[in-house]
Amino acid sequence: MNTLRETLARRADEAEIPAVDVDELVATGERRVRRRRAAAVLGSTVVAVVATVVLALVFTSLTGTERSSDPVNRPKQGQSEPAREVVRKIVYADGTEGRTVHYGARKVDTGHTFVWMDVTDDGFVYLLDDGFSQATREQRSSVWFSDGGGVERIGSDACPTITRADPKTVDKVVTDRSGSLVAWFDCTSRVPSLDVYDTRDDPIGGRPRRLAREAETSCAHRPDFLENTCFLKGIVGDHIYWERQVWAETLKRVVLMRYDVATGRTASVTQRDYAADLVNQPRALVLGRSRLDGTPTDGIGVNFTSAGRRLVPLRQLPDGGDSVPTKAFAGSTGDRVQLRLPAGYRTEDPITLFEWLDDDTVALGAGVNAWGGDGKPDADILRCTVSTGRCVLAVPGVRDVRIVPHLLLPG
Amino acid sequence: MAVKRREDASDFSDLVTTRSGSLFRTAYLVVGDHQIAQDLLQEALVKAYVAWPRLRDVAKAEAYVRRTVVTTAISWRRRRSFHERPADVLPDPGVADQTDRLATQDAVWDVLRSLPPRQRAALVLRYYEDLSEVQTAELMGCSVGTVKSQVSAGLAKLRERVGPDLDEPRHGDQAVAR
Repeated sequence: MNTLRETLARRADEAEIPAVDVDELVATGERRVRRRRAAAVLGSTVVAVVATVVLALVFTSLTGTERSSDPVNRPKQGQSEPAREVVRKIVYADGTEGRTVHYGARKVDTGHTFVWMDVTDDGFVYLLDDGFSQATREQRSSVWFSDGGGVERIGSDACPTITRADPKTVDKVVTDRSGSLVAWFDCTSRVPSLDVYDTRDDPIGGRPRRLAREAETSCAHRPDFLENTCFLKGIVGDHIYWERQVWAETLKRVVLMRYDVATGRTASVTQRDYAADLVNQPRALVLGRSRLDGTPTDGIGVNFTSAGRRLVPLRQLPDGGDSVPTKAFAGSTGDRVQLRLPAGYRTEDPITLFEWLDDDTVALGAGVNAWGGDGKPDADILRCTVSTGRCVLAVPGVRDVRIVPHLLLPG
Repeated sequence: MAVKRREDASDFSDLVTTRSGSLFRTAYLVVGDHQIAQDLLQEALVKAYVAWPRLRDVAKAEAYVRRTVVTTAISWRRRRSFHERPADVLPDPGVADQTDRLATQDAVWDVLRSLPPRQRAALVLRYYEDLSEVQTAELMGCSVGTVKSQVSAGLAKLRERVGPDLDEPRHGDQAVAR
């Protein structure tokens, strides 16, 4: 068989080994993983629904009575983990007071006046201005959460706001595009700590639980102490990102920090790491000429301008100047995102993406989180499918200020 | 969890970097076509990435990828371009001149490419990878008896078409180059 062996060895040696693109393999693998998870969720949901219906019918037929509805708004205990990957609800509050929050079909009277809120898979978060503290000479803010039922305070002393150039971020509290984590700097102690909160139900205690508290932020306590001033940047999966400015009379450098909730470790990382993290999950948009050389974003705060029915994404120039038309690509598939306004729909207001409802659905607002200048903004909310580009008018506007998650009301 | 996936991606990257050459050679010999071998390797590597939480280490993953290459090649029955390809020119079975070694090897290669995928895979694993019949059976996902019959049938066709050149003594190092 030596001729056979030699033939095989020679042919193998002569074969030109192709270059293998690891990133492409990983991206393809991730897409398959996501498809499998989605299929598993669908399957388990169908099974759970069928099982529930059958059990309910059996129970009703045996007892002849009806179950009373559960007054508690939280999801039922024992709900399977994958079934939590539900579509997020559209969240908004109308008027300048922001007291009543529309959470899907529910209305939550918070009893509080606030101008900023955020959202997780389990409810919404808002920040309450608690006034000026004479003791610390700082503005105090508390963090509140609602699952669509009551409200509860989950943080007592979020560090003061420092408004950045990035208008979409309030800097105080951040959430991810999916999941249950909320993070903020807590100023209770002299050196601010990073608090990370999980809004999921604790199946044992029946209340949300705090995941982690990171004391070593090396951040300054007050914003007017310029040295080591920190700005929360966002949450991506298990990673909390913030920027730490290092000053010595002038700004010397900005260090990007990352806290890993899973391992409890904090490390400095590069912008490239952050960008890679952003596009490593489906809820991302890449802005630019192509997916390869574009700028990865979480999509939140991306503005669009209308050209007929087409929604043209805008990219702000690096110097903070004008926005210019660009292209958008879905982070997961690399497909170009080409959203279209509903037939017959017209608006003069800027249109802004403010929430991912699921991996393929986004909520956009026309003139939301804006005062509207001379005229009142439309404040319509559109729901758009990323893969098809189709948009529908989900919540008609009130021609008044409408507060939506993630976006900071100017002024 | 996202963190776990990123660690997996790093280990997976190591596997691709260090072992894709060897895995491609196996894929190429099994299918006999450069382009299809690329597709095959890519498919096997993506499957390995998806299955990574069960694989854990590179050695185990390489075996998984190699097995996937073989079983996927066999299952790609619709890709007739590399299945049972007829040999263009049958070699002259009467010549056994040492100087014609390369020509003989080309003839062997042509016949190999014309064999059914199971026979070809069995011969590659036994005579290129130097695997035992048990190891070959494990990789092909079949019984040892099937391996024996596939190898026997493949060799019979090679002998029938190439003649005694197939069994000529080997010169030099016994090791098979990789």
